[in-house]
Amino acid sequence: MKLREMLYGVSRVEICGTLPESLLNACAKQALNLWDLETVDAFTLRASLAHKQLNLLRELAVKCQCQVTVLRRSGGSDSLRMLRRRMWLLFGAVLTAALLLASSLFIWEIQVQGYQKLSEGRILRALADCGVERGSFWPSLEPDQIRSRMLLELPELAWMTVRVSGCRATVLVSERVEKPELYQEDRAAEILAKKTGIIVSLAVRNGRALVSPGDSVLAGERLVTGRMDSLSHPPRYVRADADVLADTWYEWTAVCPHAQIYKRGPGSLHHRYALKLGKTRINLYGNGKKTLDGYDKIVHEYPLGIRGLFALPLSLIEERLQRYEPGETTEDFAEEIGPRLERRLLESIDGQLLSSKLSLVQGNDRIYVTLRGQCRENIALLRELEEEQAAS
Amino acid sequence: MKKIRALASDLSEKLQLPQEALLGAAKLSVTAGRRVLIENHRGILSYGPAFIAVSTGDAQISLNGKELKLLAMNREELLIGGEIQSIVWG
Repeated sequence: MKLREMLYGVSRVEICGTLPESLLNACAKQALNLWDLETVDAFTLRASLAHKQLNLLRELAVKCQCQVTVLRRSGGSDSLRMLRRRMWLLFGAVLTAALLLASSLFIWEIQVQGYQKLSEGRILRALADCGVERGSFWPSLEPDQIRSRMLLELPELAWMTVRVSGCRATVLVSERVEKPELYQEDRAAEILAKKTGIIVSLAVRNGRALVSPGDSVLAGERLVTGRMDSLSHPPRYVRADADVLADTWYEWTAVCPHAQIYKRGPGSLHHRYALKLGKTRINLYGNGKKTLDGYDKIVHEYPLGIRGLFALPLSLIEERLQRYEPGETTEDFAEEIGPRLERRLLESIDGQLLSSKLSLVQGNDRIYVTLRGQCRENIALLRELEEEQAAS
Repeated sequence: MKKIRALASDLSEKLQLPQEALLGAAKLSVTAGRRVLIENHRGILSYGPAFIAVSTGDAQISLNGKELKLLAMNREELLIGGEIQSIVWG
């Protein structure tokens, strides 16, 4: 049935008479629209017309000496009449519409966009503290207040905005860009040793070197000073600048067990379902307190609604429980640990690894892997001098 | 009256104006032999699946065909569907 017919209501009638054409002409003169005309025989026609024009057709039929019989009525008030006979259906439809309308006043879906360093969970928690969470009544939210509170809660944010459309809140955040450290040429500074080692070479661009190649230095020791003494003038303070290459030594130890436990499987797969109505969870399974030792639990949540358009406060939760058997392996993990230690050491230094040596020590139930490495790296650490220090 | 109509007809021909607009003359449009639109009709004279006769006031349009059906009708226009085999104007 066409939408127009469903809304306005259509009657299918049978016109009988000696000259049914005369009725057609009379209908045309009275602007009575007929469609889907069908000839049954020389004296009978069938046609469709709008409900509201049925009485006019009857009047015209009398004048044209024709008889009108209604064969079928559909749509319009008839549909309502049908609903009247099915009160529960009508009640259900009204209730659903009311629930949909009411639920659209609450937030059921929160989308966070624009974050990079901050985690979505942290933003959502901060939003919840500001009153924006699943089930919040959005007409009572004040975006300006939320923004102010969020910027206080998360200092990493530069700005943010909350846009609510239907029952979906879109939170757009922009993170603050860290201000780069400015190079202040006129600020006096000195160079200290970042690590303990033996100096290999010094390249002093500004300041006065206090050590020379071959000297051993301790971490924190002053290598290049910013104080420039003069015989004729009082001392002058400059910003020391140098690259100091030194040999350094490291000894890192990692511990690993002889045997490791791993998951052997996959075993049998079980499904459990639950409904989440707002914040209330309704388990659709018994024995919910059963321990899940020996199971991998994978949870999927399917919210009801049209994705990206609106969401309902109802979601289906599917839990997949994958059984596994714990197994034990005595593979040689020590061999894997050595290269990992070397990689981490290289990441932590500002230079190169000259030589390294691995040693293994067997304990009762553990293996101790020790890496001893010699590195060559830049150990220069710039420290700005306070004005008082510079003055003294 | 006839003289006035004849005069109007001559005038519309000389001025190259459409007669259906000026005089309310009947106009017949056929689309692909499956659909006929008659404008400015004066009523149906006969209606059946094989034959439909429509009055234009001073003439009659007779449609012969198969499964002829009146699709829509109002005071001025009349739309007929079906397999048109012949049209006679006169």
